[in-house]
Amino acid sequence: MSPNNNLFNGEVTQPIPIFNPEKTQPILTMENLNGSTPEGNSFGEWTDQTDERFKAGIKAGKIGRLSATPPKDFTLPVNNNRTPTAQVVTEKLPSQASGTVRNTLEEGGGKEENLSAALPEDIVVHTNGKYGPTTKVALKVPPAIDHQPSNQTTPEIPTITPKSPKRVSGGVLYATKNRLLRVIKGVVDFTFPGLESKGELQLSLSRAQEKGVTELKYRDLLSTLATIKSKNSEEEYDGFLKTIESLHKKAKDNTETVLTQSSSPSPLLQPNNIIPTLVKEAGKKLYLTYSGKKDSPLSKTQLDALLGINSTGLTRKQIDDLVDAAIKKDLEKLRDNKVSILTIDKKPLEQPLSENSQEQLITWKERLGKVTATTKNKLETTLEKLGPAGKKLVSLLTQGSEYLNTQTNSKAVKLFAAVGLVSAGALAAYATPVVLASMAGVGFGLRIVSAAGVYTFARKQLDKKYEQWGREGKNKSALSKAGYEAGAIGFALCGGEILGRVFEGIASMPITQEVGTSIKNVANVASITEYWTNFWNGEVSSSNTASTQPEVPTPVEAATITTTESAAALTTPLNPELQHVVKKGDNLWSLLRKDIANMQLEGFSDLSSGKQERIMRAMLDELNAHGNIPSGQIDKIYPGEVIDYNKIDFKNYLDKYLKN
Amino acid sequence: MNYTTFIEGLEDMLQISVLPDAEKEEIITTLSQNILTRTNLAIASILSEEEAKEMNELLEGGKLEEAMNLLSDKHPELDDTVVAISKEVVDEFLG
Repeated sequence: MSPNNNLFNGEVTQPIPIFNPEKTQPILTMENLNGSTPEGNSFGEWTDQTDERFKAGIKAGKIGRLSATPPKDFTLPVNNNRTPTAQVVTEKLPSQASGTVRNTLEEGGGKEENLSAALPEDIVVHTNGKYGPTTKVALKVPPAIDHQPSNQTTPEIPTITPKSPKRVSGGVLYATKNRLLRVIKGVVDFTFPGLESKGELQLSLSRAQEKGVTELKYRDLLSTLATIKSKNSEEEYDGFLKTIESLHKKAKDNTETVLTQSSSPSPLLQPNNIIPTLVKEAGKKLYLTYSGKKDSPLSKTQLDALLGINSTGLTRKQIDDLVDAAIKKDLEKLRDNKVSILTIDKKPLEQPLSENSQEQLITWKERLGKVTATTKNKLETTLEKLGPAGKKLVSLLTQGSEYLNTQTNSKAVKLFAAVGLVSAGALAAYATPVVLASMAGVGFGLRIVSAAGVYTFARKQLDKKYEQWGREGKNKSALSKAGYEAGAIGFALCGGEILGRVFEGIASMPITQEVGTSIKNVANVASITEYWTNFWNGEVSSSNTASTQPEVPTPVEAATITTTESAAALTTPLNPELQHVVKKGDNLWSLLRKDIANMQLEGFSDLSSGKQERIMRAMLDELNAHGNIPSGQIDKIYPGEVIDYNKIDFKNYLDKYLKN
Repeated sequence: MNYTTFIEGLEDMLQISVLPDAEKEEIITTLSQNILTRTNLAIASILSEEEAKEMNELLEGGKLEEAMNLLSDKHPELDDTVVAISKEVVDEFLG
């Protein structure tokens, strides 16, 4: 930056219009953009100079000079009409000076800080007041956001030349199936000037049609499209587009039906709220993306309306424009990143992290730390304000939450519950109406409270049971078994049921088998109380609840435990070693064979392999007959399922076989 | 929309698609813990001291459905609050 740039003088001035140098009309007005000390003394001035460099290149607006003896701290009030992407620029701070601009300006100056995240609010400049005569502080304003390009048109769907492959880094958001399909159309338009591998395309499309539009997988389809990137005839290309249009129409009809028919009490599910929510979110992104850029597809009025500035409402056409523009943004991101959807990798775990990924990893960890720090701060602040009962309630609720997090080792269950919570906001802002509708009647808040309730209730009941079992001499493994099932039930109530509604068909997914089992069991009872009543009366099969490894405190001294069996709830001591959470690569036969070997059943190892297999098949058939194999087939088990061989009387089977 | 599609969408939204599964899981579970904590605070904050006392008694007494009814009857806005909190946490994470 040249010494003539951006001079901020010590006189008060009038509001200054910011001009686009190429045009002669004001495009932004920065009213009252003067500086003031904390005591209210004005000191600054915006001169009418225009930075030559900006004029020639960046086309920014006004500049100002800081007086030679500025106050220590001053504030630049920012008018709401100003773009949020203004930059504060400092230059050549003398060595004795130091200061911060939103805590980012370091001693020595000369550093530009992009305040793109700073939506309209005052910019506070802190200094030590040791500026020298050549010090400059300037507010650099990007060019207009309100231009109506006269010599260029914004294509509805951009035409983009395919670039070299690179992995997608995320950030592609799709609000509706309607939008999704328009994205696909756009991708095809610019990525595939010709089509090839018609077979693959047809396969993908027929699969999508077969399952219905709601099953259409964006990434799957994109991957397929990427494989047909070239060498197709114009005719095939047209045919493909027609198919896409057909799907598009179907999706649109489907979306509108859902919107119309939704009877959910949640205001988020009402048509009048969904669209503005989606629009506002998309608009915010769009605003930040396009403000100050020539290719903005929307006028300043439209963009202002999206941010609630001078809002006059949006027409349907504007909404459509907005969605299209958001799509365009996504597509541009793909293009800018030189992305080829060919290389989308669903299993990055198996690949070494790229340098870029390493950087992201560090960034995410830092952000995660900040989120947690903010939460901690909120916790401290809120607790100070609460009365005794409120504090106690927080404690109870926190225990409930912690219980869910700590009383299970099942990664699948934890993640499953977590995804539901994290996606709640996402769903509200971005998800398809279909998904929102599927959540009708689900109470997020109540689910969390119920988790705490289950915890407190479970612990109370457990304590009673422990006392009872202690008196009756129950063994330790039986107590633990009962205890961790209590935790599993809590999870099922809090996470499983709610998410089960969102993710229909989830039981068919390997990761969710465990949870799916819980959902099924919980769904068969009328209420939490009924479930618990059944459980404590011994009417709930221990193998029917999703569970992993327990860590329930045992209030009974080990020395007092005997093996007396008298409680109705548990008539057989359970051997935790005979329980298995299925891992990848497991099968029922190998698990059973291992268990039998460990039990050292007399006579079994002397049998021929054929005879051993017949006994094992009989055992597995028996296990399955009693509903203890979730798939209902002895050759099909999935990671996360719990298989409990406590249900098999090994010795009895062997005795029967040997006798016969 | 099925589970896989949804998870992929969530990863895209959080911009963590390229990270290893273990890191993704850590991020998602940590975010959920933050959401849970903030929600708990929100619940305690919207209840009066009297209501909180009543809730405590119901929870400790194992009267879960009554506790649920108390909240849903007196504070039906709670569901939207949770949604807002989860969005808040996600937005903070995205920066």
